[in-house]
Amino acid sequence: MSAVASEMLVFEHESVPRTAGGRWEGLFQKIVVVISAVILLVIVCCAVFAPWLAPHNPNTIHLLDPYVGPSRGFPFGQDSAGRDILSRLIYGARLSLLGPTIVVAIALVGGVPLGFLAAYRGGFTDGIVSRLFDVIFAFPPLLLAVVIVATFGASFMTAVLAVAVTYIPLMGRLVRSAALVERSKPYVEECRLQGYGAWRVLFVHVVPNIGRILISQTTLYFAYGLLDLSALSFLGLGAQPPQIDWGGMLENANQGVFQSASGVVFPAVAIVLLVVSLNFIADWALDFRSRRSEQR
Amino acid sequence: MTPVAVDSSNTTERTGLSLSLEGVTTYLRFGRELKSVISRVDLRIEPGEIVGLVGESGSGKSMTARTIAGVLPRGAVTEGALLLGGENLLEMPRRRRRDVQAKEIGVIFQDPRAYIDPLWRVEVHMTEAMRVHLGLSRSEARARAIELLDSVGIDQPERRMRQFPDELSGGMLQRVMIAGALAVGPSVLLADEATTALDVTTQAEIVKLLGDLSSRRGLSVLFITHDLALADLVCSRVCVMYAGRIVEMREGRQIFENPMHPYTIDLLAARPTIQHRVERLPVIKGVPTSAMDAPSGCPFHPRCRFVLDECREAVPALMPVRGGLVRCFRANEELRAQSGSPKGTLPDGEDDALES
Repeated sequence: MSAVASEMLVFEHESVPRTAGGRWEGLFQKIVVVISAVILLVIVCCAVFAPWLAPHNPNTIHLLDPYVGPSRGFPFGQDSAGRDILSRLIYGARLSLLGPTIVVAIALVGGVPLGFLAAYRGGFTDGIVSRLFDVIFAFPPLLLAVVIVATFGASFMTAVLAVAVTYIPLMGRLVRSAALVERSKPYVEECRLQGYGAWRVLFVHVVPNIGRILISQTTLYFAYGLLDLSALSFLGLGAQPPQIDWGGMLENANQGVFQSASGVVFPAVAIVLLVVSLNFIADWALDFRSRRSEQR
Repeated sequence: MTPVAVDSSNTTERTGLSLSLEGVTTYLRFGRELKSVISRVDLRIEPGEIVGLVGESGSGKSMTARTIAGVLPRGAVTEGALLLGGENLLEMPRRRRRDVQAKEIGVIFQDPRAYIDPLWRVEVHMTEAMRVHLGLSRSEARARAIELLDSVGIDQPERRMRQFPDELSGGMLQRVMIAGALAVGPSVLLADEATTALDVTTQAEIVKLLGDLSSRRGLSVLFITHDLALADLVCSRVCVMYAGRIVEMREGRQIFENPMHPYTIDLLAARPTIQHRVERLPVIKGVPTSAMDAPSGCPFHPRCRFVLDECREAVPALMPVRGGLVRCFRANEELRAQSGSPKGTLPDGEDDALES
């Protein structure tokens, strides 16, 4: 499945021309990208400058005001313990950005070399690596993460590592199939004819050509990672109080959803905004072909 | 366009090397078996000469080129002698052989677009080899690349250097590939169906370019094609391949007038001509075989109209006949005269008139 999928990805990127009448479409895309960039910037700023931006201490409890909707002092309302949702969102941006970043980083560091190893060595090595991936694939990813967390105890880092483990084979398989396709292309043979070393061909030609697939999949996995981590937090297996992340906030607000929806709506919107804007930016970044011709 | 200035640097400093293949056989590995894809190929190309290699698909043309360039699939075995300027490439240590092949042998292919990394600008493709093999700096390599592009007839070479492969036409890209193949100053250029995918006008330009390069730089060119007429036009000598073997070799312009091997005779008879209107073009019965599943004896015998018993048992040697070489037991018998003039060929009388 993955060989076909990656080929289709390549196909999609290479052969879909930007439509000639795409002036409005182009403008629309630009607006979307700018908005996405602003959203991303805001979220990153929240994460970095949380202590200065948050109007309240995110962990200060107001037991008399649980599930209160937006008010003057608490513009996004208060959660089950009367804590300020806005402040918690701002602080929550930290783990919600950090978590998926680590997941993706581990998936890349583990998956990319394994994928290339399998594709280049082939035969026995490929068999071992691929079967290893299959073993991990055999479990539903979230279930596997739950098992790992249950075994090693619930904490933010365990959750991140658990999710990361399930992402290594995803990345590895993708890279393996993409490398197999790329490696058999005629231009790689041309490189052989020119007598370039294997490492040179790998890093100057094969890896950059796979790069677009890698970048688009990485952003996608970032989004999945955020959702998976949120799911783990929602189940109480992720970040533990007093640590805050958006998934955990959802879990906390879940029981009071009929008293005040703000505890559910705002973290959910934050997650969606982050995922969507990241995807738009990745799309734009990969679409350098059309921008290249604009420059001429 | 600036006058061609590079060539002086390249032609004067080096005299080209001749390439010769002596009894070269290449086997590919299929599981535990080795099967031959070309068999006892003898071929010689002098500097400044263009030698043609024609044959059907699967006849072993490309495998011959791959054998020379050293890009065979894993597990392939080559026997015989592959001499470049008198040195046998096959006896060199692997590393040195790869180095010599990379520097001395340039290859261009039918589909230039597939053979260039689509991600990088033309500049990268052009300069990479010079930087790797000659250790030139970026600006030196750049300057030489521009000169090279200019010498293969690309106008605005500076602008082309900044463009991406997908922004160039097929003909232009083939010129880029030729320039790239010449970057480190090879002695041999293998053109594997290099003009097949181009339209006739562009084809003519590229062919002319190859002729110029070959004579100006003293390049030994192997021109591989399935187009007999084109090979005849371009090459000083033409070799016809069948099932991995060279079955006939003739001086240029001779193969049409004097085909001696039954395969060549029938092949030429199967071409449409504008002199004669025929109901149906004659065909060679049967299907072409590759060297791998060639029958014993002469590989052409199952399809041959002149087959003898001995053809089924032994492989004939290449024998000199009428100024060429022919691999046929009956080469001396003027088979074409006996062939009863299959429909579509010239009647004998007219033919003789042409020859005289």
